[in-house]
Order: sequence, then structure tokens, then C-alpha cells
Amino acid sequence: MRKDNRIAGVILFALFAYSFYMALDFNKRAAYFPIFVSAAGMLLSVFLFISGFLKERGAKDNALTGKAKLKVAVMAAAILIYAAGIEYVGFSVSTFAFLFVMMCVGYTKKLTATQTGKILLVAVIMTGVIYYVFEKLLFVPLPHGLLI
Amino acid sequence: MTELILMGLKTAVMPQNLLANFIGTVLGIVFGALPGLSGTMGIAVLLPITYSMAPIPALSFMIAIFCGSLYGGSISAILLHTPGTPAAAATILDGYPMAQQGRANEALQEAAISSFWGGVASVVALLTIAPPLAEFSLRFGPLENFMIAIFGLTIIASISSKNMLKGLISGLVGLLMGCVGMDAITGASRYTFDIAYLQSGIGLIVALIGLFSISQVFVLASDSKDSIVDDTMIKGVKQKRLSLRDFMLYPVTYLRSSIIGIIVGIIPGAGGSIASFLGYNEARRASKTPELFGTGLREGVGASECANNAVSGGALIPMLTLGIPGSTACAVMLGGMMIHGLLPGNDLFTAQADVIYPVMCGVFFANLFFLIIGVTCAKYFAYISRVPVYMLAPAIVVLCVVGAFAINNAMIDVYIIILFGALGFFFNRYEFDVTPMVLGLILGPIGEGGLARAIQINKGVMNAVGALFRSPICVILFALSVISIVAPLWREYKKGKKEA
Repeated sequence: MRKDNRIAGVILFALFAYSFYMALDFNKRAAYFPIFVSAAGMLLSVFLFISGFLKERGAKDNALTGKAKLKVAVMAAAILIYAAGIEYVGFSVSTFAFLFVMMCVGYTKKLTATQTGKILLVAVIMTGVIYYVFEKLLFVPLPHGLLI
Repeated sequence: MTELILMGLKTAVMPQNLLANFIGTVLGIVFGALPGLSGTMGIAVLLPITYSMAPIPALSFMIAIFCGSLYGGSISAILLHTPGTPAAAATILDGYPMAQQGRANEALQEAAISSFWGGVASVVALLTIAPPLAEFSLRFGPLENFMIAIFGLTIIASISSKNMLKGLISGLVGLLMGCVGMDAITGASRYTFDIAYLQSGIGLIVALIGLFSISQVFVLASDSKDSIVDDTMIKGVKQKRLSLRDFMLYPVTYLRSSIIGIIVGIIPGAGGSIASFLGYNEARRASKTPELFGTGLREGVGASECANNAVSGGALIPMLTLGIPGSTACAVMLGGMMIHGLLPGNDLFTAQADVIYPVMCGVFFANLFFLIIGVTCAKYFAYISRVPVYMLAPAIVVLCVVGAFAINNAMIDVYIIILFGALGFFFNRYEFDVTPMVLGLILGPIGEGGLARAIQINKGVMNAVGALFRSPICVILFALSVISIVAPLWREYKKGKKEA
């Protein structure tokens, strides 16, 4: 956790420093609050960084494994592709594809034909239900893109 | 007021309102029973469904999810030794030993019954305390609003007493995010990066969906478990016939826990987990056989469950009257209320009394529904935990995406929830609590606006400071703020000293 505090301290300091720098260009009366908040944030980020060098009481190791990091990265990339897909391909097709692919990817055991069929069924039903509820019942104009 | 309550009851029993309440309760139990998910997440994900509803069923639906989730947490606590929500942690102490002794059904029934009594007591408190408090809020000017925001922000101290530094940083990030958009007083753009969409600021609901739901998806994805919990205990639950006497086994315990729950609920930031442990502890202290607590005592389950459900009505009081969201679930509900054109304060209890009274009375029906569900089929809700993670995580993403899109029918909201999801995951990973960030996002603009207006009215900063100490309300709020900061620090100091 001590190393984590140092990393978080640096990232947050950069964030607050950038917001402080931006706030200097604001209208004088609109700048007071963001300047105060950013300066306080910078100060506390320094404290957090320093705390990364101090002995911690009851510290626990919660580092992510390489596999876990990969899973998070895959999920994040998939969500981004899914969002882009909604715009260009359409909500229904993208949703079905996202659900099917991510359920297959997330399955930890060996995928059998039965299991794939089960996932396929869940993906179809879920896409259908969400599409019907939001588009037909709640009149949300879901993006249609090139397909549906 | 009696007429308004009667009118509220009459409207609350209309089929569409009862239906919204029932569905909300069921979904709330589902979210509460699933360890890792929460009522807050349930409300955030399901909020878009309410957009096309009328305000009464919409708000009833959200509050029913809140109430249902408070109860739902006890199911997995009793059967799976895993509290579905932090508020159910104390229920494990006697609930799980009861399940191990083959008395799981008795424990589930007691959880439902005591939760019902706690909920009913909190409805009574809500109906009697909220209207006069809202009327009192009419005396609030810009300085008082500023102090209300400051008082709300001091909740950060009690939320993050374990790591105050990280809590404060999280709160500052929220305050900074609250600055995004056009300044309310000068009209100047701040942190908009020339993006027109950001002129109106960061959408609260969009931020909440990202912070609480998408980030949780990343947490689920990083876990290699197939299902959330092991469920061997569920199969052994035997149904047992309920007698009328079972509904009122421990009236004194229910009353004591209800009072504790209501008071804790009203205090912003305290929350259900504190209430349930306090309720449990007080019941043990008052008992003639305190040594039996923790060994599978039915009264233990009742004491903790009654207290944590009494929080529901109590937490709604500051939210509906002063706009202070005492918990993250209340923060999401507050955002939902605003979407439906309902603003906290006196107007809500006068001009919009036809909306708010049925909603407040509806809380009673939410409690009644989970009582019925709890005594008849609680066991089956525990099976929800068998939903595999590989199916759950993508399903939550789809619900979040469609929900974010439905707010403004704009794809940019979808990208923003992904951004906030990543931020929430980063915070979670580095052990920051996101609740202070949400408080900062909500209360920052209120505080800044109030202070700016007060400086303008009083013609200068020093005059405004002087006015602050001349206003009795401000002085009281200032004192409460100081207590709110010092009390958790003092508690931690004493705890640390005891441990040393």
C-alpha cells in the first residue's frame, strides 16, 4: 500500500496542479474556489506521497495480479468498442455481440457447445428484453447505426 | 397534516404506485442480496426506467429499491455468511449461527419481521419530522445554505475516519468536478475544454452510474471467481409455518432499535452499518442473557435488522428537507428526484405535497412488500448469488450504457460513465472512498453559490464572515460541523489508544 500511496500521490498532484494552472486563466471572481480546491488538493497529494514512505499500521497487500490487470484492460477495451459500435453499427447488434463475446471471454472453464449455446441464448434474450423495454415501452430512441 | 397523510395514503394505494413499489422492492432485494452489488448501484442502474414514469411511481420505485436492498442484505448474511450490504454485517453474528443450527428459515423470518417494524417506525418519523423541518428551512438564506453544504461536507470525516487524508482528497476531487461548467454567479466557463456539453456541468447521474456501477464491473472482472459465493447452505432451508405471535416477539427491542436507526439515519454519513451494530449492542446490553448473543439468538437478528431498516426513513429526512444526501443511495435518489423536477425544501411539502406525501406513505408499502416476500420466499432470493460473474458483469455494463444514453439520448454520456468507471476503479484500487467525491460534486456548487451570494449581499468577505456568526442557524450548523469532524477523530484516537 505504501508504494500505491506514492503512485496515487504523484497522479493526483499532477491532476490538481493542472487544474490549478487552468484556474489561473479564469475570470477573477470565478477562479477563487477552483484555485483554493486545487491548491488544497496539491498539498494533500504531497502528504499522501510522503505517507508512502512512512510505516503503515495494519497495511495489506491488495496488488492486482497480471491476469487480473489483463482482465480489467480487456473489459475496458470491450466497453469502449461496444460504445463505438452502438454509434456505428447499432444498439441491438452491438449489445448482442458485446454480451456474447464478454460472457465467453469471462467464462473461466473450457467452453463446451452446451455452454456456448446457453450463453448465446442469454445474450439473445437479454438484448431482446432491453431493446423492447427501452425502445418500445420507454420510447428511448436507441441508436440504430448501419444495422439495428 | 393529517389530511395530507390521508391523501398520500389514498394515492399510494393506486395500482400503478403499488406496482412501482412492489417491483422496486423485489429489485432492491435482488441487489441487496447480491454481495458486491448494492442498493446505490441498483438505483443508479435502474433510474433510467423511471424517466418515462410520473414522479410519484418514479420516486416510490427508487425508495422501494433502497428499502428492499436494506432488507435484501440480510438474506445472504444469514444463509451465506456474506453480508449483501455493509448494513447487514451485524446480522451475521446471530443469523449465520442460526442457519448452521438448521434454523435459517426462522432467522430469515425474523429479519423480515424486524425489518418491517423498523421500516414502519421510520415512516412515522419521516411523516412527522420532515414537514416541520422543511418549513424551518424557509429561514435559510445564502449563508445558511453555505453552512448546510459545509455541514454536509463534514460527513467526509465520519465516512473516511480510517483514512482521513484519502477521504479529503476524494472530496476535493468531487469539489473540483463540481466546478466544471458555467459559473452560477459570473457566467464564466470553467474546465469545459471548449466542449459545449460541459457548459452545464457534469451530470450527477452519469457520474454516479460510472462511479458505482461501471467501476464495480471492473472489480468483478478483476476477480477470477465463477460465482459470487458458495451456496451449499441454501439447500438446507426448511419452510416453517408462521404464527401471529412471531410478528411481535421482541417489542421493546424493536422499539429501541427503531429509535437508534431513525436517529442514526438522520445524521448524515452515519448509515445502516453503524445503526445495526448499535441496535445489536444495545439489545445485548439490555438483555438478561447477554452471553447468548452471538450463539444464534433470534433477538440478535431482530435487533440489528430492525435498526438498519429504520435508517431508511431517517435518511430521507435531511435529503427531502435540506437537500443533504446522508448516504450514497440518497445522493442517487436526490439526482433522480431532480430529474423529475422535485427539489428538496419547503416547496416539496407545500406546492408539491400531492407528490411527496404519497411517496412518503409508499415507504410503508415497500416495507409491507418485503415482509410478505421475506416470510414466504426469502430463500429463493439467495439463489440470486448463483448468477455467474461472467454473465453478471456484461449485463451490468449494458444496463449502465443504456441507462446513461437514455438521460439525454446522447452518446457522450456513455463515454462519460466509462471515464467515471475508470476513475472509480482507480480510487477503489488505491483504497479511496468515492462517497466523499459524490458529496463534493453535489454540495460543492451549493456551497460555492451560497458563499458567493452571501459575499455579494454583505458587500465583502469580512462582512459575510461577521454575518455568519450573527445568524443563530449558522452558528448551530458551524458547531455541528465541528462536532461532525472532531467526533470520529476522537473515536479513532480512543480506539487506537485502546489497541495500543
